[in-house]
Amino acid sequence: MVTKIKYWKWSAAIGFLFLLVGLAAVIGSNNGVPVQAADQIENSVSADTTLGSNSDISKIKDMLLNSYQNYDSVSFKFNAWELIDGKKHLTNASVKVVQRPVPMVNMTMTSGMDGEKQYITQEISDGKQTFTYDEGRNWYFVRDTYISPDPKKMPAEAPENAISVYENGTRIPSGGDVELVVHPELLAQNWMLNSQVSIGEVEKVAGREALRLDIFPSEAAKDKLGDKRVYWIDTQTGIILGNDIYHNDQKSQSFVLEDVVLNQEIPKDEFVFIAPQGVPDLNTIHASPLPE
Amino acid sequence: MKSRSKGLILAFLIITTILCASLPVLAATTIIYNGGSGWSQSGSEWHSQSTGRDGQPIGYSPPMVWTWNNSSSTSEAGAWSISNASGGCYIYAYIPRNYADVNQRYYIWDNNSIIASSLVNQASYADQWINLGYFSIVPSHTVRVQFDDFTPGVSSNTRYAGFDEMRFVF
Repeated sequence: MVTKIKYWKWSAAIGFLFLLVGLAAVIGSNNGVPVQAADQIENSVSADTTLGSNSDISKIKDMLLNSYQNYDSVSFKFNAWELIDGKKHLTNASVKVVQRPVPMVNMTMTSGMDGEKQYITQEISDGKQTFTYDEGRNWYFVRDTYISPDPKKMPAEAPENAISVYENGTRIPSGGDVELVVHPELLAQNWMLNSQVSIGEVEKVAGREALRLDIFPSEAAKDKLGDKRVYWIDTQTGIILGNDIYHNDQKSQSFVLEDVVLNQEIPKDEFVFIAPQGVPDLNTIHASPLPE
Repeated sequence: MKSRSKGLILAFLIITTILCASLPVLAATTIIYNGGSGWSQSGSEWHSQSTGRDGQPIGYSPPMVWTWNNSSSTSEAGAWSISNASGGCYIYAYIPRNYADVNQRYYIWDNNSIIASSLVNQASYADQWINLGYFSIVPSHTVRVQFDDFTPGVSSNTRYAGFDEMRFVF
């Protein structure tokens, strides 16, 4: 009888132990709730911290990672060029971003080789749905928008050297380099890794105070990322106001913002999308994963 | 003896229940290798690359493959897919340090519907996993990432469209 009771106790104890472990696993993991509704985003602006030439790297990184908390809305024009086989490829975009209470985006971009046709790309999100139009491919599509509770939090199982930048609701998936402006966490999570960073002076860029950062990529990455990448970071918000990239001491790529306006109310009708006439919805075309 | 058996059965049931309840929160990761199971490609002008310009191995699991960009239409395309998806997933693309510098969209498919696209400037990344985002996939459907060489507005044969591994985290 004593033996029987002992087995019962041991069995129950082991079961209870596993119960605790299981509960801890469930509570400790956030994998089950990767997204949340737009209106659940915290409606607050963080305390002010302004960057200066005496700021250390950790303060700069903190500003970059939390940039989206430092303003409610921003609108700007984005003008960029890059050299492709010795010719200039141009990108010009008009961008409006609202961070709160509901994240919304309107980006209209043209791009193409200098002197040749410029193709329109448009991305408009009203916080519930996102509209994407690609003139070059001649289609558009609309999809639901999901917003992560924490834009800079990586899932625990993320691979090494992975970056997470896309989920704070102001994502501009069609924006390419435009996205860096309002997602400066890219800078902290990517190009500042394994690189030498030199903190420069505060300079005037796009009519605003900007802290200059010179980044020197590692030897292995220089072929692609260049010898030097210069970024101008808005000292009050952390958004990227300008960027120059050098290959073999020659400037190979550059962008700068114009007409930067912060925290001005942007009417909701700026985020209404209208499907272009005669352009097919991508998902109404008989789609094949690969061309036949 | 009867009580002992009951105890063992009870413990087994508790443990099994807990393990089953915990399974959904334990992420499953699958990597689709170019050239391996789950990879498909179309077109004929493919280049295989085992080493970078520095002579060192290139790609997450060499070789990687690449093709030149095309300004007028899609001539080469590749896709990484997983059938019987267990639901939504994060997707990461590996961008090697050489032979991948096109500014191009990755398309995410749920069965035969495109549900999202993500523009990535490959020229901005060197030997890194890039998070394309979190995507809701209908359970048991096929999730597929497609990438191609069509770059309207960029002269042909001036950019490398690089294809390497794709990681799906469910």
